[in-house]
Formats: sequence, structure tokens, C-alpha cells
Amino acid sequence: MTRSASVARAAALGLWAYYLVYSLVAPAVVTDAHLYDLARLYVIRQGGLLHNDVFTNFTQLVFPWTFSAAHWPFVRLGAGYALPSFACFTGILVVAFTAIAPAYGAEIAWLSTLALLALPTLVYQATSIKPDVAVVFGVFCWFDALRRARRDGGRLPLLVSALALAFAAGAKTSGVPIAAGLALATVWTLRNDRRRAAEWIAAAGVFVVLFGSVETYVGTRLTYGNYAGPDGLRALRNNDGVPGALANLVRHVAYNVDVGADVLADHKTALSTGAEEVCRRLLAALGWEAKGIAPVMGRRPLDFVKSGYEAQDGFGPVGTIAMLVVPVVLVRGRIRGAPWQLAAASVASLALVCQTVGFNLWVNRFLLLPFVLGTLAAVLYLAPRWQRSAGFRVGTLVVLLYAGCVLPLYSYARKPSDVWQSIADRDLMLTKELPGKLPALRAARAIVAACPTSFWVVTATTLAPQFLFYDLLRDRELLSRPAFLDAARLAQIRAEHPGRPIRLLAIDQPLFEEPAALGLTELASFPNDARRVTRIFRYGDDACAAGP
Amino acid sequence: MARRDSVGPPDERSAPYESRGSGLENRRGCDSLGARMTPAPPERAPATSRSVGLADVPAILLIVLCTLSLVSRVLLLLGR
Repeated sequence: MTRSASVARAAALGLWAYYLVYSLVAPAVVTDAHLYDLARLYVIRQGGLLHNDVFTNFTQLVFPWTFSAAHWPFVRLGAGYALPSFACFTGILVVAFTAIAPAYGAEIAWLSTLALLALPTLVYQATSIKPDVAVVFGVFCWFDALRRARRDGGRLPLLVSALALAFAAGAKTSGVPIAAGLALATVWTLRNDRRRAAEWIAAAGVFVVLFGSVETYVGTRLTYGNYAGPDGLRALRNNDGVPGALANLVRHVAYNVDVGADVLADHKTALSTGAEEVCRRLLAALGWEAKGIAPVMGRRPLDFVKSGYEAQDGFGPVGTIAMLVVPVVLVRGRIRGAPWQLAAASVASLALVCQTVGFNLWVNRFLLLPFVLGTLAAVLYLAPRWQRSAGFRVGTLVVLLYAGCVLPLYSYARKPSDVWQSIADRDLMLTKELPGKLPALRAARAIVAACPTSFWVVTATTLAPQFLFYDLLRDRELLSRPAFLDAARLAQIRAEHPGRPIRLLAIDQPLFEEPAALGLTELASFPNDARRVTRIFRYGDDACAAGP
Repeated sequence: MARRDSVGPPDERSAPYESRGSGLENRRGCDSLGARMTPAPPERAPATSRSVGLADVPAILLIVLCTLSLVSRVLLLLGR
């Protein structure tokens, strides 16, 4: 192994270990976790999936929850919130490594591993709680299992391939069309062995029932009258057909021209501004300015800043290189070669995202699969040059180490100081994307510490961050819609929890009646802005001996 | 495309295939990676002697995640 490859291996192992530590100690930082990804677990535990009357946002019920639910043991444990995502990421790395090493050697396999660790958005998703990385993991597991089934025979790899597709479909709505397409491809590959094909179809059917999140579709049908969600999730889709898909392709490509400059400079640089301008002019010339935009984005202007937030960052210079190399591979590569096939799969998955998902400012995580496949295609295509040229090896290594090791130092929440903050001041880290909620969280924690037997009624407005409070209260909470909170209901709650001081937490949510008329005394108030105020009340006069 | 032989010294070749292949690599043409070498049909070891290796990690992780998810969903739907 060359010295460059040894450095790549050491860097890859070091980065993997660092992100493992991060995943173990970091709380759930991303705002979506507090709105729905993890908040929904408490919502569903109390109200179920069918006829739930405590959810505050449709996303808590409608989105598939197979992957969200896998976080529940870690939520109860109070640690390792990102471990399910990190497990998926590790699986992706292992599949790539074990597929590449036999054909290209360990050196290129380590290079591929480091290249994946140098994709900022992939690494941020790998250390978070969102389900996008689970879809990619499902696809990679499917590929790996089918490869092993073909090589080794036996029934187990085939079952694993079916399980992987069910998992991908159950993790996220965007995984459903991918899983469906790969299922058809699987049946096609098994067409000459009808018994095995029938077994695979039967297994896939069972696994879809168990892991395809069928229950959320049933609940959605009962709540909204269709299986997708309110208005068929029109707010999140591309509703403009092929013109919308092509417009989205332009936006995704322009957005992902990224060398990490924004993150280093801590503001939007000329590269991102220029990409925005080119994109805007091109779409205007084509008459597609409004095509493909997700209605949820409203009239927000295009903003191609790469902020270092996990929800709004790019794939760095490695992703940009992949975008440049993939078309070359498709034109010059051999169709039966791995680089060409990976590049074709990358473009196909990108086309699927463009066609199905409306563009908005936080959509880059939907592009994990195209960029992972495209990066692997680029690495394998350039592998001969790596092996021939010492200068190319050094240049490649510089780019990979810059993207993999330097850029995360400028990220919003993946720095070594963030690891330390997760340990030293967890609440501060927990509210990193929601600083306005920190005073309320600290006050609630102080009240719980002073009054550990307290029982909390929690009511929240539609887009209120909730999980951070549920994570604190841990079985002390009862969720309620504000309309249900009248004097009789509060008296009933007190009667059902005798001897326990009752507190009421209203997260950005005004009460429907005057607090005094409900027997509530305000203990603390935390305005976010003129309209949104989080309040903590005491019910009755049952103050704790040690505190409020 | 890089030929397998050109990548690193022999002791760096991590594939278990070579030890099985012994010149049979090209019998079935290209594998799914399109590389030169497609492994020969392996000699299947008895199931009892097979040890868990790196290649088994993805399937194990998948099964663990699915199990966690299934148990958690049942508990949550039971209100636990």
C-alpha cells in the first residue's frame, strides 16, 4: 500500500471513530427532531396512530416511522440518539468497501471510504436522526445481499435483500419508489428460478407489512382520506411534471457547486451567489422559474448558501468533482464497468428525486443516494490514475483531507467543541438550532429538579419544537390540545394523579381561556416573538416544598 | 479499468476470493462491479464453521435496526 493510501486509511478510521463518539454523546440537535422526527414518538405513544387527537403537525403522523421508531430505545436511554443513523452509515461504508476491495484492492477501497467521509451532507445526516441515510443504507444492503446471493447461493441473502427494501420503504416516503423499482429489478433477476422468485416475493410481502410502515398509511387514510397525507403531500412534491423535474435538476446542480467557501468564510460567497444568478437566469430563459418548487417553500427566493447546518449544506468539493466526473464516465466508460453502472445509477436516482420531490431550501439530504453513487463512480473511474501518478495521489489526498477533516471544523454542530458541549452543557447543545427555547428548557429543568413528582400537561402550537421538553419530562407529561384544556379537564387530571403537583407547559401556544379562570398561576414566561410565548403554569396551590 | 493484479502487493489483497479461485476467476465474465475478476463458485464451508466477518456487518446492522424498530413500534402503539 502506498503512503498516500496509508494516510487515507488512517484518516478514514479516525473520522469514523470521531463520528462514532459524536453519535454516542450528542443530543438530538436538528430542529426537525423536535418538531416531528422524535417528538412523534411521544405523540404516538399517547394517542396512537389511528384517530390520534394530540398531534400538532401532520408530519408527526403521516410520514413513515420505521426508522424514527428505531430511536425509541436510545430516547429512553437518553444517549446515542444518532446511533441508528451512524449504524446505517457504517453499513454503507462496509458494503462499499467489501464490494470494491476484491476487484480494485484495499487501497482503492480505503480511498472510497475516505471519499464518502468527505461528503459533508452525508456525514451530517449520518450523525443525526433523519431517515434519509436509512434509505441509502437499505439500497446498499439490497445490493450487497443480492451480490452474495448470486455468489454464495442460499436463502438468507435473498431474505436480507427483501428486508432491506422493506426497511428503505418504511424509513421515508421517498424510499418507496426506489424500493418498488429495485423490487421489480430483483424479480427480473430471479425470473429463471420461479421458486426463488416466489419465495422472494412472499418474503418481501411479509417484510413490507412488518417494516414498511403500513400502519402510518392506514392512519393517514383515516385522518386525511388518502394514503399520502393532507392533499396528497402536494406541499412537498414536484407538481409540474417533466418541466419541474428539469428545473429541479438545474437547481440541484447549481446548488451543489461547492468548494466549502461559504462555510470557511461564514457567509455566502461569490461562488454561491454566482450559482444562484446563473440558475435564476437559465430558468427564466426557459420559463421555468416557478416549475418544480415545492409549495411549502412559498415565495422564498433561491438561497444557495452552504451554511454548515445539516439541513442546508452541500457535498463539498468531492461532491462537485463527482458531478463533473459522472457525465465523463457515462460518455467514456464501459457500460459493463462498475464506474459506468454506478454513474448511471447516480443519474437515475437524481432524476427520480427531481421528478418526485419539490425543490426547497432544505432538500439536499434527498440527494444522498445520487451523490454517494456518483462519488464511488468517480473514485473507481479515477483509480487507475491514482495508481499511476504520485502527484495525483497527493492532490487527491489534499482534497479529501480538506473536505473530510477541515470543513467539519467549520460546521454548525459537528466540531470537537460540540462534542465537548454535548457533555458539559447538554441543554445548550440540545437547543443549538433553537436558542430561543433554552431559557424555557432551563426553567422547566429547574422546576422538575425542585419538584420531581410534578406531572406536566403540555400543549403546543402547530410548529412548536416539542421533543426537547419531552426528553426532559420523561413520563411526567400528558399532551393535550389547547381546546381541550378547560377547568373540568384540569380537575380531572389532578384527580387522576393524586398527590402530584400539576404544572402546565404551553409551548408557543396561547390558552383558550384566561389562566386565572382555569386555576393556573404563571411561573415563568419566555417570549420568542410577539406572537409566540412559551409559558409555564402551576395548577392550584400545590407548590413543592423545595421550589415552584 | 484497473486490473486487479496492478493494485498493491499480494498481501494487501483482502478478498477471500483468491484463496478459493485458483485460476477460475474469469469463468463467468464480469461481476456486478464490472471488474475483471469474478470469483469462482466458492467451496461452501459447513454452516457451523462459518465465522462472522466484516462482510456480515451490514446485514447484522439491518436486522438489529429492524428489530429495534419493530419492538419499539409495538411498545409505542401499546402506550409504553
